[in-house]
Amino acid sequence: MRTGSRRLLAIVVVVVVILLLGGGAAYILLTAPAPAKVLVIGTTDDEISFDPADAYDYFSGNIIQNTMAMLLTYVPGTTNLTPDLLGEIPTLANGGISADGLNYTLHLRANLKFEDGRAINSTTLKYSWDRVVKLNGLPAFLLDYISGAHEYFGALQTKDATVIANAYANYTAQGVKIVDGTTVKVALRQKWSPFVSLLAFTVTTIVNPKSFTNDRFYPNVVVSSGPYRLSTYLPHQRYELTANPNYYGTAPKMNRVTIVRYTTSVDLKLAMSTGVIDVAYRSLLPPDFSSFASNPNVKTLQGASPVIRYLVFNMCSSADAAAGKCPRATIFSDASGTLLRKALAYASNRTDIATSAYSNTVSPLYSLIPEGMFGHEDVFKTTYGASPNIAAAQSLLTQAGYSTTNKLSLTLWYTPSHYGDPEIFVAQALKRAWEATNMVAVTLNEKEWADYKVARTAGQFEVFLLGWFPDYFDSDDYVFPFLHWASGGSAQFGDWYHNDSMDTIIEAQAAAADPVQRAQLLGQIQQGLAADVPYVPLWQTNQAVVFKPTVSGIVLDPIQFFRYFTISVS
Amino acid sequence: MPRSTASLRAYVITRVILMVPMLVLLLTFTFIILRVAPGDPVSTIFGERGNPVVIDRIKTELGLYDPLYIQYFRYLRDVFTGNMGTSILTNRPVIDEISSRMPATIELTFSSMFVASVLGIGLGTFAGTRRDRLPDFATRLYGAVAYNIPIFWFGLILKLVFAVWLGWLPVSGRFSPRLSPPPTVTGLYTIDSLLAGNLPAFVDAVAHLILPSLTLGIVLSGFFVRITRVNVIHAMGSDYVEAARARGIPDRSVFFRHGLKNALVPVVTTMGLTFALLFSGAILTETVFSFEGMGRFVYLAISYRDYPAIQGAVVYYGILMVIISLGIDIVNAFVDPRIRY
Repeated sequence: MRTGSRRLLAIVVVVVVILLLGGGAAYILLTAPAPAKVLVIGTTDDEISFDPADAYDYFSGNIIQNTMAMLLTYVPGTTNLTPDLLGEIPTLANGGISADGLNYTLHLRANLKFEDGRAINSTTLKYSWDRVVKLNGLPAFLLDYISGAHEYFGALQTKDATVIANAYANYTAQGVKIVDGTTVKVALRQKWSPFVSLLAFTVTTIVNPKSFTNDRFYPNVVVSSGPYRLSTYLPHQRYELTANPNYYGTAPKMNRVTIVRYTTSVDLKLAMSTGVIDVAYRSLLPPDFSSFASNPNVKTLQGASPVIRYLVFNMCSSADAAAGKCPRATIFSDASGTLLRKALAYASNRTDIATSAYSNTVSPLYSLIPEGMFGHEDVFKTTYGASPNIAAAQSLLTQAGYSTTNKLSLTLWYTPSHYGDPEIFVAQALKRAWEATNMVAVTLNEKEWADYKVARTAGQFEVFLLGWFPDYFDSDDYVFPFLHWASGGSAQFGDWYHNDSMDTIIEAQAAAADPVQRAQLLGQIQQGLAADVPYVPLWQTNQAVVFKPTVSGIVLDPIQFFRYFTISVS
Repeated sequence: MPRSTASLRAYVITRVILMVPMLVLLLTFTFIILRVAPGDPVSTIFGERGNPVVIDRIKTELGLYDPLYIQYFRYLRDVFTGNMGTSILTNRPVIDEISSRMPATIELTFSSMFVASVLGIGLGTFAGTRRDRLPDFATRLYGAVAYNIPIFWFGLILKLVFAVWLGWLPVSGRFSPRLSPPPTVTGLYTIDSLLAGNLPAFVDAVAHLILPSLTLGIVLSGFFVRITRVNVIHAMGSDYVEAARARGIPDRSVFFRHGLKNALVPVVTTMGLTFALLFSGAILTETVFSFEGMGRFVYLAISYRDYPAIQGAVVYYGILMVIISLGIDIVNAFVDPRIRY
């Protein structure tokens, strides 16, 4: 056979092989055997680190919470704490919290084990917490209130090995002390009520010392103490969980769960609509969720989430700028700035945002403390109204010297690269609302997230959009970082808000062990927020899940802990 | 030693030596661009705010407070000692991050290049031998459309038709969620499933490759069709082809032995470079089909200003480009002796 003919034949053979493979694949897929008993959950979330000493993102935390038991956890569907690895919640009444509020005694359950059979006890608890402090990973600052930790973190700044070693030795001696095999005593440097909430957060969970040495992070490692173990793990693609036989609690509903990661919301939607997955959770586009809601072949569920979105005003004043406290003075500082902030608070239209940007899949928010969280009050609704009050806004703008011929000109900044595609519609809704006063001219502008963060902390923005997912699930985390000057938060958010009396009330609420007194103080803080308006709360994100009718047991927690172990598929 | 062998050896040695300054230049540009670009690699990974102590600690550990020239030389030293560093974002070694994403990129690259080559060379040759006739016009139209079609749109359309409407092929991903993937040996599902003797897994992996490789392959084939056609026309009109015909050599033999062989030299060069380019990741195709490959890795690394990850990816990509370029040059030097003289 001649060369040319042989090549032609080769090409034909290759094409036939492709067709056969494609046909074979289609045939097998079309006539695939009944699916194995596995719950398949689709998501667009990605993991960063499974090491509790370094995990600081939602999805890594959620995998940790399904594979590692926490010291405390939440009653499903509520923000009420309940014991997990601990035998009881420490309180003043049971002696878990000392009368001065500075010492916490934690009693672990007996006979707890990791998946490899090693014991979970007071020694491993102390080891885990000391490791978090020593490694000083992303969430380590949450343990700053433990005696000696603050000084150790400060010593790290010196970069002096002796100073650091001494500070760490002091911390380990005074911070967490082993009382007996299942009991530790934790000393705080000052009263801090949110400490109990921290016991339900991943940073305080107990790790296996055999697998987690205290000299480095282990982002890929999970040694389970919870309902599931991570049996197969393909980074950024697929996570297979199987029941942990050594878990002390109730066995999970499904023996096997596979979590599949999709890179886009469109893929997640298609995977759900073609039946590839049983559950789609985080994050479908709002219009897609609305479309699923009217689809009789699937079920949908919505619930509150702890994620809030808000507007930030850069309040850097001339005096503060001159003193070097902030980069440059803006129109939103001083007395006239207060008028402008209030005017824009009056004019903002939350309903338009919910409708035009989110297809009504979010809820309007009238405080920095979200609905469902302890102490929440709708202060912006009572002060500025549930819907835009254009007349009030115009009155304030007039007082500030603006008119229909001399309009307030401002640029509203936003960042779709961090908050998603709907962000432009949010910005447009605010522009519409503010320009409805006929006394404001708004220019919209955007930056990519990394650049956005630099620009706002450098004081380049005057008014911009931000969001918040709490570090720990306590109302304190919605006020202290935002409104207390010492938190460093106002400089990092880029608003430079400073009010001494606000700082005092925030400190008092953090120290208050009495819930009634604390609620009262949180009320005062929120009233101050509405009066000073450094931020305008806009909406609270809702969790949205779509699932097959054969799926049951999904609970949407207000804290956004998505429990795989309560879900079953028939 | 024959003169031709000696000249080829000298040529290869020269090209290998030139690889070093090429790589250093590439690394230097990457280093400078990253430092000039706005955004702080450490604070970016935090959410809306970050703990200043932790940010400071990480920056110190990464040596970001050191003078730039020290950072630069440390970077070069690490690269040439095989240390690509640790990702700021994930705290995983960059080499692990790259190796976890390489299998998806390799599978997509080979399968899409296969489609692009078969379609591109086949149709280009077909059109080139029927110049200015109806098949030529049709093929040129195909080439123009395929080359200019937006790849993300085309991928979505293929998914909509073959995965959603017809249900013949999977929507996205590399493997069905309800099947257990084969034990990881190479990371390539197609190879690993064969090594495990798991035929359903192999078929599943191939089925997941069809739509992404068709999407990317068809778009690339548009370019290959055009350059193949032009070179076939050029070769078939050349003097040596005319001389072969004048000697009475049969047309088929003239075409395959003299025309096509010479026409494919520039085509192979272009395909080789495209091949290297694909190894850096096809970000749009990977995104549309949820392939977690190198393209998405680099995209995320840039988004978070993850210096070690970006630098690691550039090192990998630079070395790959240089090696493939060298390979192409050597092949061309073999084929066309004028190149090495």
